This record gives sequence, C-alpha cells and structure tokens, in this order.
Amino acid sequence: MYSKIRIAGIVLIVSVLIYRCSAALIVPTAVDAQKTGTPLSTLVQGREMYIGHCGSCHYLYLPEKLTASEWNREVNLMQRKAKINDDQKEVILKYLTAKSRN
Amino acid sequence: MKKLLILLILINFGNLYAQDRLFTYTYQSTVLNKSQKEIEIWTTLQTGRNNFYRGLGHRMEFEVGLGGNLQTSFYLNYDYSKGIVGNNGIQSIENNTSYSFSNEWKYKLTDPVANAFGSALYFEYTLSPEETELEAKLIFDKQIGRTVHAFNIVGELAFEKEFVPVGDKIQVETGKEKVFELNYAFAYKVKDDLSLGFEVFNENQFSKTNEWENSVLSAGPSLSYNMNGYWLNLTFMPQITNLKGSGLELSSHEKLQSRLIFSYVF
Ligand code: HEC
Repeated sequence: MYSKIRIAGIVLIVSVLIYRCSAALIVPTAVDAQKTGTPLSTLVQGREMYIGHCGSCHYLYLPEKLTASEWNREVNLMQRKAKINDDQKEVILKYLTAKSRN
Repeated sequence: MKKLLILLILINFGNLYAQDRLFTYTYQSTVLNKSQKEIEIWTTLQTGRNNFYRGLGHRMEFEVGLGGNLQTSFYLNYDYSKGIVGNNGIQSIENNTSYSFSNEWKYKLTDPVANAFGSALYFEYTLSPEETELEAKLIFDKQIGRTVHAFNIVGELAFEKEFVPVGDKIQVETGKEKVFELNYAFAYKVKDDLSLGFEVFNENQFSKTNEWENSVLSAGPSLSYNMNGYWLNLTFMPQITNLKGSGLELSSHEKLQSRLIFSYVF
C-alpha cells in the first residue's frame, strides 16, 4: 500500500514538473490588446506567424525570455534567415513585444 | 585587462548558435520555412556481423520548405557492402552495390514549444531497380528546459525482386518485407553549439508470411555540434540484444551501426 502511494506521488510530482516546464507559448488576450493599442486579431496573427516562421532552425524562444528592445534586435537579425518581409516582421514583433520581459 | 575580459566574454557568448536538429536516427517535428533549403550528407557504417560483413551507406539529401508546414526532400542513395556468404558448404565473397532514389514528405502538425508537444507526419518512398520501399513515420518531440525528447513510430514496407539463375534461365523471385520500428532520443544542451545525448532504436522485421523474425534493440550516445549555417550530428549505436532471441542477432544485423550527418543550411 505504502509503495502504491509513493508511486502515485512520484507520478504526480513528475506530471506537475512536466506541465510546469512545458511552458506553452502564451496566447494574447484583450488586456494585451488594450495595453499595447494593437488589435487583438493582429496579436493573435503575430503568434501564428511566429510559430509558422521562427521554429524551423531552432525551437521557439518564449516571448518572456527577452525584453522588447532585445526582441527588436533579434527579429531584425532573423528577418533574412526566416525569409519574411517587413510587414510580417512587424506583426511578429507586435506579438513578441506585447508579451516580452519588462 | 578590462578589454581582454570583454573580448573573452564576446568570444564565449557572442557566438550564439542555434540549431535543433539533434539526432541521426530519430526525427523531430520541425520543418523548413517556405523556400528555406538545406543539404545533408549522410554516412552510415554497419559492421560486425557473423560473416565479416561491413557495409557503408551514403545519402545525399536536398531539403526544401514549401510553406504551410510542409517540407519535401530528395535523396540520392548509394550503398555498398562486402561479406562472406555460404552456399551448400561453399564459401564465396559477396559484394553488393546499390543505388536508389528517395523522396520524402513531412507535414508538421503541432509545435514542440507552442503546443503541449510537437508532432509531424512523414512519408517516404524509395525506388531502385530491385526494390520499392514505402516508409511512414509518426514523429513526436518536446523541449523541456535544456533537454529535448523525441519519439518516432515507424512502419516500412519493401517489395523486392531477386534475379536467380536456374540452369540457363533466370528466375525472378519477389519478396515482401515489413519492418516496424520505435525510436527514442534524448539530448541535453551543454552549450549553445553543443548537445549530448543518446538514441534508442528497436527494429522488428516480419517475413512475407507475417512471421515476426527478430526484434533488435540498439542504443548509444549521440552528439550534435553546430556552427552558424553548418551542423554535424553523430551517433554510435551498438546492438544491445535481440528481444526475440537469445543474445545478439548477427546474421542480418550488425554489432555496431554509426551514423554521421553533415549539413549546410542556406
Ligand atoms: C534559417 C534558420 C533560422 C530561422 C528561420 C530563424 N532563426 Fe533565430 N537563430 C538562428 C541562428 C543560427 C541563431 C544563432 C546565431 C545567430 O544569431 O545568427 C539564432 C538565434 C536566435 C535568437 C537568439 C537566441 C539567444 O539565445 O539569444 C533568437 C531570439 C531568435 N533566433 C529568434 C528568431 C525569430 C523571432 C525568428 C523568426 C523571425 C527566427 N529566429 C528564425 C537561425 C534561425
């Protein structure tokens, strides 16, 4: 009995750890739209484009990893690699900076 | 002194390389962006069978992203091997050389960071004068912190033709082989440009009459190193055991497989 509880406990802890570590890519909300003055649909589109264009060479970096100015620099550096045009770059940046580190 | 320190920091941290193709046998879910291209050179060494067999296989792969999460690639394959064969008690040396062409299609379903786990569907066919081979894979992967886990379920169906001389005629014998594989791989990012890990590979062969012939388990260390625009992955896969027999299976499988993939991204 004791060992069953222990196994259940371990499974629970591991599940929580996996869940916590697998921090999914944050979805923008109406609050972000209001805060940044960008339509929510643009932020949502930015997230989609980020997933679609930035995850082919490396796994995606979480927006909260970098500050807005760091994102500006990185996305400009990555534009050529990701073969995206200026409009696409702007939309991706809108999403990343809305959710960036302060 | 201060300048030297800054220089050292720049050398150490300035070159952030990012590339997440980490394995040689196990696939990950990522696909190239539209019009992104990559050339990969594969070399697989298979050595240590009962009959002094040693084989080398090369694949030259050209990958291109089509957009909409779809990627295709073309392979030119060249394999050669040498070993002793016995026929009615008479031994001879057998040299095998084969050329073939493959075409792969990969479709990414979910992203390993944006979704709970990454997944992709994979289909490949191979054509050669003696063989048609179909291969399908289900690919899963997940990044957790500095670690990456990848898991593949693979099914293969091969239709073979063998030309056998009988008297002064040549008979054609057809064969069908089914293979079911499971792959698991783990990598730990030691530095931005270096990941270390291991791969596990379980290969199950079924005969024409659906008999489960063997279930070979191989596992070994893997390494992935990347420079900006280039990467190199290497795995050593010694055979651990044959789960359907006792000990190793050394008549149609080798003691050691090793694979190197070198790639140029442009
Ligand atoms: C063609 C491959 C490729 C594509 C596509 C790509 N990247 Fe990169 N990324 C790299 C490489 C290589 C590096 C590291 C070296 C460098 O800076 O060139 C990198 C580094 C980064 C870094 C720095 C990571 C760190 O540790 O600081 C960020 C952030 C980043 N990329 C974001 C993006 C974004 C956003 C996109 C989409 C617009 C993108 N990448 C698309 C290849 C790519």
